[in-house]
Amino acid sequence: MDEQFLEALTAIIREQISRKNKVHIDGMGAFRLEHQKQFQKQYDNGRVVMMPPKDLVRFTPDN
Amino acid sequence: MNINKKQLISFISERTGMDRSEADDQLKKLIEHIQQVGEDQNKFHIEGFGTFTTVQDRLDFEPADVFETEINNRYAGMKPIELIGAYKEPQTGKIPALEEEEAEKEASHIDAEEDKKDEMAARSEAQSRKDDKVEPPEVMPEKEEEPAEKIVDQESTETVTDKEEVTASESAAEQSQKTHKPSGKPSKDPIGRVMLIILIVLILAAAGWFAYDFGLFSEKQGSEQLPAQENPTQQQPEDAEAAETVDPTVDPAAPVVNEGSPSGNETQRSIPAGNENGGASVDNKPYGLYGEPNTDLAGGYYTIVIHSLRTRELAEELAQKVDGPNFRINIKQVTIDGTTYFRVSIGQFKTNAAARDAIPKLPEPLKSNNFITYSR
Repeated sequence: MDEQFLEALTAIIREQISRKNKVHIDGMGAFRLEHQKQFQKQYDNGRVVMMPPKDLVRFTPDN
Repeated sequence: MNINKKQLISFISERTGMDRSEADDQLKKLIEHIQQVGEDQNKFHIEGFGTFTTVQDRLDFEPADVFETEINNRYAGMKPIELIGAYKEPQTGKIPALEEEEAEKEASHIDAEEDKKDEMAARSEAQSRKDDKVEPPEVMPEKEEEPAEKIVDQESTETVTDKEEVTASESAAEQSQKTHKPSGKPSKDPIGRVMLIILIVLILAAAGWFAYDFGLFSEKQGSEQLPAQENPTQQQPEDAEAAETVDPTVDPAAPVVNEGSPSGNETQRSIPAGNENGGASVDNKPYGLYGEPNTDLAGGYYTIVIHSLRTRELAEELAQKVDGPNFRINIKQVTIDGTTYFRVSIGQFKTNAAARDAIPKLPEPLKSNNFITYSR
């Protein structure tokens, strides 16, 4: 595997993930995008903050 | 949309220009390499994509920061917002629940201890009450602590240190004090009572002052004075200011009026002094206590006024009643402050002193109740 291939692969996966597509590679696992809504978070000292929403990359391995 | 391996290879061949078989080959190599991560290496990092690690024989992927940021570009700039006044009870996860249980256990333990202390306090109180009957109360606290400690020793199967004993006994004493506190509550009331009493006293004082101001008392005085002015003759025996030559029942302004202004509304009349007057001793001296009244005294004279009445009839009636040897009795009409009085007077004297000297010669009720005035 050369640099060019890895670059192309990561670029494609990033692109597909940002399009909310699930990328499944046999023998390795699946990459998918997961949305996390905004939520309230409380610290130990009683402060309550509203955390912003964000997208997460989840990887589920094949085994 | 799902992208599988086939599609991925076609994408790669499109992008890099290599054959599908070559791309497939490369991908197989990559997969092998990544699977080796679990066996040989701990990490496999791809620049700009992420890190593959193996945690407990399970492949794990941690995206790089660049990747994360690229995905979250639509939420860029959003930061946590603090919500003021939105306090929520801490979420009860597993660990907090455990903590709570432990806390509850501790609390129950403490409660049990406190209950013990309560019991001890109660017992010590009971014992101290027993002691109270026998011994003076000053010795009581010491007696109170000792049994508490003994009970601690007996009851607690655990090894209790001296400090704990002391604190237990102290807390027991405190709790006994607390139990005594409710009896101390009424001690707050006396302050309120005192305040109430002070308030009532103030109100009464203010009421009395106002009553005095508005003349509830002075009315009585006035009601006493008014009849005295109207018919002073009834008051005569009561007023016993013997040394005074001035009669308080009659307006004291009278002599001033008579002296200062020789007003014309004084008409002097003389009574023929009665039949009973012997007239033998009548010398018609210009001045004197006895005899006929002399109407020709040019310079005026001092006289002793014994009665002052509103009507002439009353005056003459009282003049007739004067008993004594041939008194020189005059009835004079006087106007004082717009009111007409008829004065019954005795004697005609040149000086005030002579009139004063003559007063003791009068009979009893007249002697002590009269005044001297000057008339023309």
